[in-house]
Amino acid sequence: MKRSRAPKTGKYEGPGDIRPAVAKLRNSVPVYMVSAGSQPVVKIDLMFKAGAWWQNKSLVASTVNAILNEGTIESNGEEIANRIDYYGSYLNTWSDRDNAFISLICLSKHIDSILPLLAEITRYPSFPERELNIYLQRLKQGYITEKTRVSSLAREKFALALFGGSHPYGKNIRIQDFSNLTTEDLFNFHASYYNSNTCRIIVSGRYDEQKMAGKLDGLFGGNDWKTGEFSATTKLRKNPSGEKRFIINSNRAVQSALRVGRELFNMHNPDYLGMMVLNSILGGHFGSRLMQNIREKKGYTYGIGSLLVSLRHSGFLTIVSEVGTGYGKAAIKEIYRELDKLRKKPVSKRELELTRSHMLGEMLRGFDGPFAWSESIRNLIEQDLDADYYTKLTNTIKEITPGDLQELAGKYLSPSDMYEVVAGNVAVMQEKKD
Amino acid sequence: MIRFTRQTLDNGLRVIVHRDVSTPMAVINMLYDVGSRDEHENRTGLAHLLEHLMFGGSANIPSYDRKVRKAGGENNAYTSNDITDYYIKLPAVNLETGLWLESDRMTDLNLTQKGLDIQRNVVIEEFRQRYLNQPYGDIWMILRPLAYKKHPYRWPVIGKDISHIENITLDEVRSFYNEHYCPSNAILSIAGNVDEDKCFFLARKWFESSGRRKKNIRILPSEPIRKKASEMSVTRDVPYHEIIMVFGMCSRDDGCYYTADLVSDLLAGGRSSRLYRNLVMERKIFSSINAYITGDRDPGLFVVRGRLTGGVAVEEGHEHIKQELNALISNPPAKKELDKVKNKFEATKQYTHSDILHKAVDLAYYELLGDADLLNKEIDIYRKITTGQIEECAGKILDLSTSTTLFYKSNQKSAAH
Repeated sequence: MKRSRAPKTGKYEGPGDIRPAVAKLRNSVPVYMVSAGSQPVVKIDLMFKAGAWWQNKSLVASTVNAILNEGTIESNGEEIANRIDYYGSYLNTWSDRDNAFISLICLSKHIDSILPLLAEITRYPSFPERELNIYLQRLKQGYITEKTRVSSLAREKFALALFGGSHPYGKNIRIQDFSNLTTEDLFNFHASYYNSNTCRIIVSGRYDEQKMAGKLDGLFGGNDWKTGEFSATTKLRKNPSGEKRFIINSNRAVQSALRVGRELFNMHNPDYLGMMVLNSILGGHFGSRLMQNIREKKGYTYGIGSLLVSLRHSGFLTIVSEVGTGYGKAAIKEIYRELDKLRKKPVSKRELELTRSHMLGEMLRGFDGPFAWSESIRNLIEQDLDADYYTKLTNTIKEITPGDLQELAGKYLSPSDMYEVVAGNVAVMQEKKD
Repeated sequence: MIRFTRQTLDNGLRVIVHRDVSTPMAVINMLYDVGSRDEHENRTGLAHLLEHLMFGGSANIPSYDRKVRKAGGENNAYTSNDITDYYIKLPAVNLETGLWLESDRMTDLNLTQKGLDIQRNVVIEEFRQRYLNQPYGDIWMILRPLAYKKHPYRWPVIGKDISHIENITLDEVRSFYNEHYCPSNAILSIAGNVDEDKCFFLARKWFESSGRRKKNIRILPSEPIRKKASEMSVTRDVPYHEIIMVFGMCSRDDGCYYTADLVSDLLAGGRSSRLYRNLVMERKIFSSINAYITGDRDPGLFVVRGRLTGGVAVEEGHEHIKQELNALISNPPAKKELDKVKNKFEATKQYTHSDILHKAVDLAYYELLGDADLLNKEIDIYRKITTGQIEECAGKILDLSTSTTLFYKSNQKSAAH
């Protein structure tokens, strides 16, 4: 047998029909049903348009979300924790710039015992003062600890530069924000944003769809948790920084955190699909150009990547790395060289073919198993998109040309549009002429 | 129930196949029975550095990554104190490509000076990024040599020191590879939408030519029983104090492992756990606290680690931990509390196994432990553990007169108020 002869790689189909069944509760809350998987587990995700975008006071959105499980009108935090843990279930809550999430994972056999508690937490939290204060104290400690990481410093500064300090996507948290919240703020925010107008539900795993829809309808289907009007608050304008290059000093850092990037747009923009392919080539995975050049050829870093982020009201591209102090300048030079190459030289046929097969494989993995699948669906719902988006993405992956990619690079990867943040030990950087 | 079939090839490679037709994908997982415990004490970090070099191409495959991408796959690897594990997830139609890739780098890896130089740099940056440039990042660097005096668990997987990584030579890498990367020292597991017979046929086709190499018998110094408590304090530029207490415990193969696992869950598994309820929410002594077991193949550690609330002294925090550990014996769990942690174990297992990757990883690891079928028996093993066993195990392991404690102190005013 000849080892040099590679086995033939086969054609594989895309993920096929990935549209979940959709049920509507009496109050029109949609329930997306992903029934799949080999194990007797089920996951329920609730999503609300209740992220930081909607808050008019720092930390309100994330705090409401984080302490939903610290008490309801019927149970205290300890009782809730006991019930959740007793049934071997996991309750996770998190929020981001646009949305807030409550996610429950449990054994299918225990779903009836735990589902009412999920509704109680979501709809009737009591926001006890003592628990709020403990939470804020712990959050503040986390914040102070984060400030010692160069990667956090660079991330904050980058957001601030792109969007400006009064915009919800750019605003940085300040230390005084932690002593500024009242339970009243939380009740008000909860009443306005955790309601059936913006609620979306995704159920994934092994369960009976019909029974599940019935149970959810009983708990979440009523018309008694609507707000009169969905308040689309008017937001301050973006105010991007005129200055584009920033250096932040951190005295004991042995590596510098880098961020290079720019504001772009969200998934609704027709160029987004093509940018996903371009981003994959630039820095989307281990074999990408940035990783191959800056890690695998130069050894400046443990990792480098580029990220395309879609937000409800904007989007951005960011290149992220931590490099040894002394390699900062050289790494940034190489980053620009890679951007430049994409603008000046068409991607070779061979590289594009590799990208196509890589990205199609990635899509397939995105729907492999009930929980990967529900996460992919959630990503679309977050952006008010439907499952057809993946069909369009598949087509783009298959059909995009080197010319299209070069055009996108010309439009969006110009060095003069890039913001650049370096956080590290400035004294050592100077010593090393970095 | 995870059904599987297994065969051992003539050259000693153990092959396990699990068929799951609910997915269009397949996972190929290759476990090598080698980890940082197999390193020489002056060349620590070698096992992990070699893991990096395994992606540098092999005799017939100049670029490993390119072939994986061409097949629509994704791959990664990790090194622990005990094992080195490689996996690829790819569309099931490309199963054979994955086996070809794995077999080629097992048979004839490209090891060049240039590749070594670059990956050495990458690993040094990894060392900096994960252990030096993070607050609290060096805790295990300090703790390991405190907790272990003889056994190779006394150094971390990444290496004791950057200089060790700098000094590793190409010859040393090559001889480590030759010694440990052979069929008889590996377990191949395949999970996904595959046909069992075809898997075994392809495994023989690609791996049988990878000749049997003689594997050295592992003789490691065993760690003497810890007879007295030891403490150490360091001061670092971090905002809050931490306390890390560790206790010696049994190995992964020992029956006591399961009981110790539940003991750690009673202490810190979830928001209803004892440490979280009492020390974070009730008394506000810690801002976060955790307890877990390392689960190593040689006798491992039971770890309790907490970060103090600003204004609380380390001595006070230490007292509270000790009280909670004693309370496990004076106030053992009632049936409901014990059932809770068992239910949680069952749910975690089932959730983890809803992905073929984790099924493949677990099958190979349990086969290494002696029998892949252990995977199907574990939920019952946990179910049978009694309160009496919990008390006995907690009493035996959490003996304060043999604990090793690191006080990781802050020099900043945030810790003082």
